Amino acid sequence: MKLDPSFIGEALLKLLEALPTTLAITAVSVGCGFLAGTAIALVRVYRVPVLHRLAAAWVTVIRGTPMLVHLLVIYAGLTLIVDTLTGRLGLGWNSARIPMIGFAYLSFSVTASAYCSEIIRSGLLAVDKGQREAAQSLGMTAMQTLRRIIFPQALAASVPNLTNFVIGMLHGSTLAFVVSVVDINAKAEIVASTNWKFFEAYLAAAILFWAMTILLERAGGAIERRINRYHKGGVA
Amino acid sequence: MRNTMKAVILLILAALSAAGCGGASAGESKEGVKKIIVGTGTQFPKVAFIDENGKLTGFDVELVRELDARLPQYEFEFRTMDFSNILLSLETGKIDFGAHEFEKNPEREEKYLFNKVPYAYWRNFIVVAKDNTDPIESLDDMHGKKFLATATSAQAQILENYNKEHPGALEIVYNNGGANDLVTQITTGRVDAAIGADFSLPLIDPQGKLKTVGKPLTEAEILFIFRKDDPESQQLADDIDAALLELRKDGTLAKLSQEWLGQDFTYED
Repeated sequence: MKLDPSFIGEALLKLLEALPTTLAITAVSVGCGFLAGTAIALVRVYRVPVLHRLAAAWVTVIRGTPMLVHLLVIYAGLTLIVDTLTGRLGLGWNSARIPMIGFAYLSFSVTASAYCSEIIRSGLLAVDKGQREAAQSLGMTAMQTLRRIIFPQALAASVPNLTNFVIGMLHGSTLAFVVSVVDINAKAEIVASTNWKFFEAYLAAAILFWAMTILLERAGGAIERRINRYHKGGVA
Repeated sequence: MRNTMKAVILLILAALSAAGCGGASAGESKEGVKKIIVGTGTQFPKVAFIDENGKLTGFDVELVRELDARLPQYEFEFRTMDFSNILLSLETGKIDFGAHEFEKNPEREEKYLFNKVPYAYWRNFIVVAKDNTDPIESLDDMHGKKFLATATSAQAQILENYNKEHPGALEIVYNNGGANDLVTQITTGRVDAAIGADFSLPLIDPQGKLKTVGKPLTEAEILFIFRKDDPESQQLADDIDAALLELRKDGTLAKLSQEWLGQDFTYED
């Protein structure tokens, strides 16, 4: 086994072409997952009638099944549904109109929503009950309490877990190659198939992922410091 | 901590010694009858698989059994394993030859010995949707079309080689094969075509929604695979070749192919 260090650099350059795809998948799934997850967490914490049971069911089903299964089920299922519907209605187009990356966006957002909701729920539960009582005694409405008092503190408590979650989604985005979306890892495989230097190509992918992860860790740390500023000084 | 390390080292040593034991049990069993261990798999439908009665069978398996019947000086015994383990088992002497639709290629020839008489031929064709009526003879008729290919596969290699000579002629859409969506992608028009072996097409497209067009792009010989630089292996390969010629002559080989693969894949184009 001989290592060809120059090919690691060469592969690294080629892998950069796939960087936007990886970033887009991660950003979309984290963004949608965060919004949906926040909604789910609020519904559960405030025990909204009927909905909180549905939300709990959603979380247990989605967390109970692997990310790859979500992708495969959504890809195969949505294709079938769309093709059946458009065929029945005679619209003259089919599922091939949906870009492949769309399936990745949708299914990874679904995955992210369940995991993210639990992170936010733990953040919401970490805020002391007295905070809400104090806000209400000052005459704030429920929405004001949520926005001004509960949410900033819940989010601050969630930041370390959220960073972890974003990193997880970044690494999970490599699954997209199953539906022909060429992300960094897929590109490594393709690049290496010309000269069979898989080890070098995978090392290049690892370096790229590690670099992105370090940036995410740093960003997470910075956000944590900023968002926790309210802790400093004053009366605790 | 130190105890953990000790445990780890112990485990590694145990694994190594286990791997070192148990070489081939090839040897004389009965008077003048030599026992030969044949390596094959169980995951290849119609070629080497376990049927509903729990019996190992398929084209390659039944062919080896037929050869066994014709070679009184040998007694063949199957040992099943993961496909990826067959070559390693051959090298380490755990089996005496491998039967699993092994395709001859230069990389393999460098490390292993093949017998000389192929018992099947794999041809790669352009595969399109059944209702595609374009006149397609070769890849030259496919410029600007989208091909689905599993990264690192032999089929991807064919497309990449073509693109090397004709830059940008074909658009290759890669995936990793995990979604088994070749038929869907072609029939919905997401991609136009793929490269596939006529041999394996009925397996991935049982409903016949696709078809092969034009002339074969490549043709590979399917052979048994043996240890290299080993006089006994050479003798075995030669004996099998002689028996294979007989099977080919009396039509048994073609019949086996018809029976298991639905078509005669044993002739050369």
